[in-house]
Amino acid sequence: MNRWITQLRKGLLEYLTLNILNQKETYGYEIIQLLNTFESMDVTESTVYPILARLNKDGFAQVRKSSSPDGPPRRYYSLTPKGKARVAQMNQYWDLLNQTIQQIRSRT
Amino acid sequence: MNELTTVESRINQYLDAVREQLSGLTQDEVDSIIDDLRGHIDAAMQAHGDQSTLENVEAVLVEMDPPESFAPDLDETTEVVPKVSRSAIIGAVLLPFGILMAIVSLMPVSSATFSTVDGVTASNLPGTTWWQWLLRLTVLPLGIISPFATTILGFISISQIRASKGKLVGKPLALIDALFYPILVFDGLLIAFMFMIIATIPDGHLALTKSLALLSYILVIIVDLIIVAIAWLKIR
Repeated sequence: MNRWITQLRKGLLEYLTLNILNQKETYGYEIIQLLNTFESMDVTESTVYPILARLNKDGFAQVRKSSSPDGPPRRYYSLTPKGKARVAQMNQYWDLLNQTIQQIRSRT
Repeated sequence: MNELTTVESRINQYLDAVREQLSGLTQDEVDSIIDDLRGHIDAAMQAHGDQSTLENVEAVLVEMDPPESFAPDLDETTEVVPKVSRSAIIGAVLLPFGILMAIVSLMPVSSATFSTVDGVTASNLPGTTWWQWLLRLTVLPLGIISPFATTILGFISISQIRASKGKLVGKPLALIDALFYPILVFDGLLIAFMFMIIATIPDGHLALTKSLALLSYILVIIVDLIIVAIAWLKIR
């Protein structure tokens, strides 16, 4: 069971990160804090930062360095138009997937 | 060494250890992760009271993932490049030998015809024997096995491609291998059958004979296309 949960979380993390970035420009630490407010999610730096780096490399997210009011400069991530298109497609597929799961579960 | 230098040194030590684990990623990705981690440490230290002390940094680092956990999974970094099925390639290489054998086997006939006209025997025709024999010796064995090997390799490669989950590609090539000779045989039989029908037409119906002959070829092409389309849909 634990393995399945881990794999599922891992698979969903990119999707959730994209959705967070779709709502607002934010930085890595804040993304981790936000995800960890949900009981079902348990994310750490070693999972989130590689995803952010990959999203940036693939052109889905862009980075802006900005000075923080209470500390060193922060790297703010936001979605590119390509990233916005991607998250729209992912959401559409997620809805379809969710619908399928509901239909299968209610077949009894 | 003052406290601040010690703190910086400890953070860099952690970041260097993480960097070592990030092999397989691009330099930009590595730099991005390291920069984000540095920002994370700073933010976490602020959350701990913003004291740049060694105790504070140790308290932050102990809550963070150990450097080893940054090692990327192999399946994430090694992109699987699909390969064209080797069986399909070998089948495609063997395929022409059957046709070549058919052409080569027709050559002595044309030589003999030529020699009769010129009044010379086939045996003393210059340059027609040794290379033809050499060609026969090399092409003939491959030509004989070509129809069987190509067809079998075609079917093998189709099943291998389907089972490979994207690691192998080349379905169109495999389909050509699998169907080329069976379709050729089928076409031959179909045309022979149609010409048997044409042969029953009494003399003097040239237009009908020509029309039926043309119809035979059209029929063969249509049937071939249907077979290929059905097979393609089946394996797609």
